[in-house]
Amino acid sequence: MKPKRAQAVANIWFMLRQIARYTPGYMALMIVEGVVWGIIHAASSVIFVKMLFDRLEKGGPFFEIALISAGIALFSLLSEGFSQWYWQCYNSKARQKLHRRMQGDLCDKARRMDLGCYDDPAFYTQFVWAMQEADKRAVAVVEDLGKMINRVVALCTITGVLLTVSPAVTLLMLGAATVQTALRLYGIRVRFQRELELKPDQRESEYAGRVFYLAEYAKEIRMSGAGTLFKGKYTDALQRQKNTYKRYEKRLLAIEGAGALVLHLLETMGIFLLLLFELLVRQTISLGGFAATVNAIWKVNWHVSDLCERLLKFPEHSLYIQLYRSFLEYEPKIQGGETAIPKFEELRVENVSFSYPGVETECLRNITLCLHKGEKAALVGYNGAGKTTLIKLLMRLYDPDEGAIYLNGIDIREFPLEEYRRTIGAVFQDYCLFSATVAENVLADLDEGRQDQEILDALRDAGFEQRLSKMEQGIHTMLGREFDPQGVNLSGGEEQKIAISRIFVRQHPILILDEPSSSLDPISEYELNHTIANTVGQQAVLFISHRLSTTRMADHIYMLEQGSVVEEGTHEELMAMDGRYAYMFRIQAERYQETAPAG
Amino acid sequence: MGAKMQGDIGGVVKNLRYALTIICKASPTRLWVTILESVLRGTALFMLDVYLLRIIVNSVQAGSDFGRLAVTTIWVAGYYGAVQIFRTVLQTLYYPISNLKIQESIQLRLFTTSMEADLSCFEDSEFYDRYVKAIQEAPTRASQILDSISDLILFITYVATNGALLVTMAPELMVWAFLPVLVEVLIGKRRNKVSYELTMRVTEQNRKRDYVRRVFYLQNYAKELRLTNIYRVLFRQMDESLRDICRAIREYGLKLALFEYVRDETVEVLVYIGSILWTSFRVLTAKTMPLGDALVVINSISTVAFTFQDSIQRLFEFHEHSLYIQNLRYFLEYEPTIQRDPKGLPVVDFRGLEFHNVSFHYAGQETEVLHQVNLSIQAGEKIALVGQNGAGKSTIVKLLMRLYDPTQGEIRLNGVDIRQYRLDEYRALFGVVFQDYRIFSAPVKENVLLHPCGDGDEAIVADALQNSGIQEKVRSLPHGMDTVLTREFDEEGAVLSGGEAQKISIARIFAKDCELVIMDEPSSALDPIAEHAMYDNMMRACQNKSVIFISHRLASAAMADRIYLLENGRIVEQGSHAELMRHGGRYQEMFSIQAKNYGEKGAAI
Repeated sequence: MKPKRAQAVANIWFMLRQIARYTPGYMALMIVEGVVWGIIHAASSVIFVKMLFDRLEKGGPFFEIALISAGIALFSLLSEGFSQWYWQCYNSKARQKLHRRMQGDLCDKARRMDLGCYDDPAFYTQFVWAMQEADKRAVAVVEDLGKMINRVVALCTITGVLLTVSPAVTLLMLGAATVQTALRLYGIRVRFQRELELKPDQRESEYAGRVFYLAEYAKEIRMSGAGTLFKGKYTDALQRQKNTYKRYEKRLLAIEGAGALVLHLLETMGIFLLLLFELLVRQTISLGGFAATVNAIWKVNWHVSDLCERLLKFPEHSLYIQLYRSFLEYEPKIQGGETAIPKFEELRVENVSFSYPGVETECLRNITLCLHKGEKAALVGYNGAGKTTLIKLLMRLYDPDEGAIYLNGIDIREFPLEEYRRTIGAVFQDYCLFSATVAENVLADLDEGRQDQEILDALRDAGFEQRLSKMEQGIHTMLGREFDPQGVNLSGGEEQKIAISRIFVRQHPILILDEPSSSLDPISEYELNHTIANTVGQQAVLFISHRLSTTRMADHIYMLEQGSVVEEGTHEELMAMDGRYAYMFRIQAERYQETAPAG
Repeated sequence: MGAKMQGDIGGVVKNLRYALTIICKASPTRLWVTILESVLRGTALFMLDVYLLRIIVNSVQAGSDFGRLAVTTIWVAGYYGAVQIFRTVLQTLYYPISNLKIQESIQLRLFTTSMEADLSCFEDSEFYDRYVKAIQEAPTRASQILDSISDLILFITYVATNGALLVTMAPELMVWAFLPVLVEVLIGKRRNKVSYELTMRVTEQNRKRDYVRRVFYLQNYAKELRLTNIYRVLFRQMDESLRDICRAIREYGLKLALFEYVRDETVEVLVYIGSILWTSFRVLTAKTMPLGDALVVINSISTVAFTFQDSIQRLFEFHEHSLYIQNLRYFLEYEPTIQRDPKGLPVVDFRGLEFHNVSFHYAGQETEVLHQVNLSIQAGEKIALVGQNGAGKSTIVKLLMRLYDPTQGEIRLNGVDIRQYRLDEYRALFGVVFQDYRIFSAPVKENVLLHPCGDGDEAIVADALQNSGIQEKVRSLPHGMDTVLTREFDEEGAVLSGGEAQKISIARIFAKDCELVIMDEPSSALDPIAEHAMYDNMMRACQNKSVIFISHRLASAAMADRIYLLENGRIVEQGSHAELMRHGGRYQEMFSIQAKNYGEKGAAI
């Protein structure tokens, strides 16, 4: 327990330092607000009431009462003014700034993170949590801390005042508050345990709900029994939730019933009787003191229970902060060097072997290949042969376990990472577009001072011209509805054309095309291949496809099977070899040839 | 918001009654228990807070003895304690289960309506938004409504008891207590409007920022983020969002602060300090009020005023609830145009389906997706639909399955309009593999069967997995066909690749005893060998069934008995592969382009 608690304190401290760095004023003012309000609450509810009633009981003078009232009014006007300005104007802005600054740093870190981290489910889950929760946690930590300071200050002030009124009542109240705190802390812990047990079943019932409302399931629900299946699953999940509640109800009833008994029945009764005794029998307190104490009971109970609740949030805060912390402390393994990038002549892969972290079998084994300036090479093979992995290594999204990749004979690890990656233009199988303008999507960068004509040319080369002419704002049309309700949603084929245009807008020395034609219809595919063949001159192109008709025009074809290059050469050479490539080609060609006299 | 509320108080009441009817049906005692608890709590608070204090102080002034007051105190504190314990019992034993029962009843109604709703509803964005809100909030909204009711009744009880006492002691102070309500009426609407506008602005910008956040952690964006400078675009978008939020806060923040300030200080200064001065005057100078009454007035008046003000605010909550209930009602009362008519004709067998001059356009769109389409499929026939993206192939399939009804013309099963058959039985004719097939978070066998697994079903699943070529993979999973797919809520769940997932969805048609198999580009995620094997298996397994398939790859289409080529929603060519090749039209042209690179003479490019 001890080291865990020390860890929690360290985590909270870490978060507070981060917040102080991002928005120093936010935290300072939060503390000031906490202290000021703590005193005001205590003062107005207890001290003022006592002063007032004492004077009323003694019969005046009215003038003093008026003076005290005016003082309280002035105090209230000023402090409330500060408080409203603080919450409505200052705090809400400061919170947003904190969000933005933290998110900026997190995003920057995320962008530099090794792609390999996505393959590690444990790391990935932590990473997503850090991204989603960190800024909200930061705000929660500051606000909980501010409120806790407020509660503690208020409790101290009230207790101090009450001690002067009636030590016996104060002791009784503090005793009850201690029992209450213990029971509450225990109760909240049990509830938390129950929440944990409920979680999986809640997720399952939520999932069932999604199956019914997400459009992507709608057809399946109508054409099969899936609707009934998930209704049943929903009811089962809910039944399990009911059972969980039932399992916990006796324990919770005991804890919370005891709490209610102590707090509401015994304490209230005890304090009132004790007060009556002091008021009537011992006559040690005044009516003012009596009224102030009654008021104080409510305040103390309320502050104590709120303090407990906030205190118990800190272990959870610490857990999230830990994730945030370890993500910030993470250092990418893939680092760049200092060497300037030379003019591209060749890219050579030498004896490269690679396996994904945590996977035993090698994904690539002893691969050697070479791509020269102006050459068109193709990687072919079945699903899972390692084609996509190989291009990830070329782009330094991963580094090889053995062997190395050389650009003009220099190990690519010696170049600055980002600059090296910019030498490659790529279209992925799972390309994606961003909610930004067409121009920004084509450039994949800010649209600063680029000639519209270059972008138009690139889009034309990618076959997007016709669709573009239907867009009123041309290349400045927003894609996606996230940022602009008038944004345009494109079809899969159209999206792919924009992704393809990225390779035309810049003169990348190396182009990598990972099944660029998968969602294009035959005519568009034909046109695309034609354009690529015509556009590239000095550029080296690496194609990946399992449609061999697309790749046969390559200067050099590498056939991959189970992570190794099993055959290589031109189409004619490989056909003459009559090996694995020829077999695959024939299977695909078969159905065209046996019925295609015109081909 | 405020203006609207006054306009349709009737609507709010009607919606609330609708929700309460549903709640009462699901958990009949719930509403009454909630009301009882609130009234008890309200009176208990009043007794302890105000009534007891008054008795004590006035008795002390009158020189009463300890014994009698102690008995009263024990009674009052005992009542208060008992009510609190009663509340704790309800909170642990009764409310959670009752909440779940209500949630279940609402959700199941929504699910049933959702299953029967026309597919077109999912394309009508207004309807769909309402529906999603209705279903997403269903678990929590009902208990929120009950909470609001409970709070409101508590307030009313508290204000009423206090008010009654106040009237007997110092009726002129009632004016004071009403002052904040007056302020609330005067500025409440404007305050809510400002606050609503600010929230909307901030929410909108936060939504944008959440998008940026997602881009940085979702895997599918990871490569582009690393290879390009797109992050600069995204960072600029975040900065713009922040700027807009700050602008909104500058615009509305001070106004909001001012409204809140006036509202709070009316109670804190005008009511509280004012009543102190007035009662002090009456006690000390005019001597028309006993000290105990003064104490009670001073102690309770600001609480009464605040509570009063709060209950007015609470009424706005009911307006919000009403908006939600409106969504729920709108959806539950919706009548699908494609009806599940139990009086329809039974579907006995499948001899043939035909499209007779079918035209179709999506609701709200002018352009026809299909124009005067005629086609037919006889029992046992294999039909291919080919054409470019957007030619209308998928729409034909949707009409066939009665996910939509044609705008003109009719579709006939065995010569009779399909609208005359029972919908469930008609749809049961089909086994479908959709282009955008989905894998459910459920065990493999349920994913294949799409109904709970009963006796003898496992053999069917095994056969289906065999036929779709995924059996080996399934056998290698830790629990075989009992393995849960996806990690949605099982950490141990199996994640399949695109090709494997597709094979699971293909297995569904083998497991279903259907007459007509529809495949919408079933081979897009498969590599050539797997595609070849899949078609072989499919043709073998579907020997006696009719098959309609859609494909980009014309080589697969060549296997069909008859091919329909679509262009812009019309059938432009039809016939067997050989006939179409001889005909030398569009089909022959498309086929040649695709076949060219497989030809012996080499590539044209």
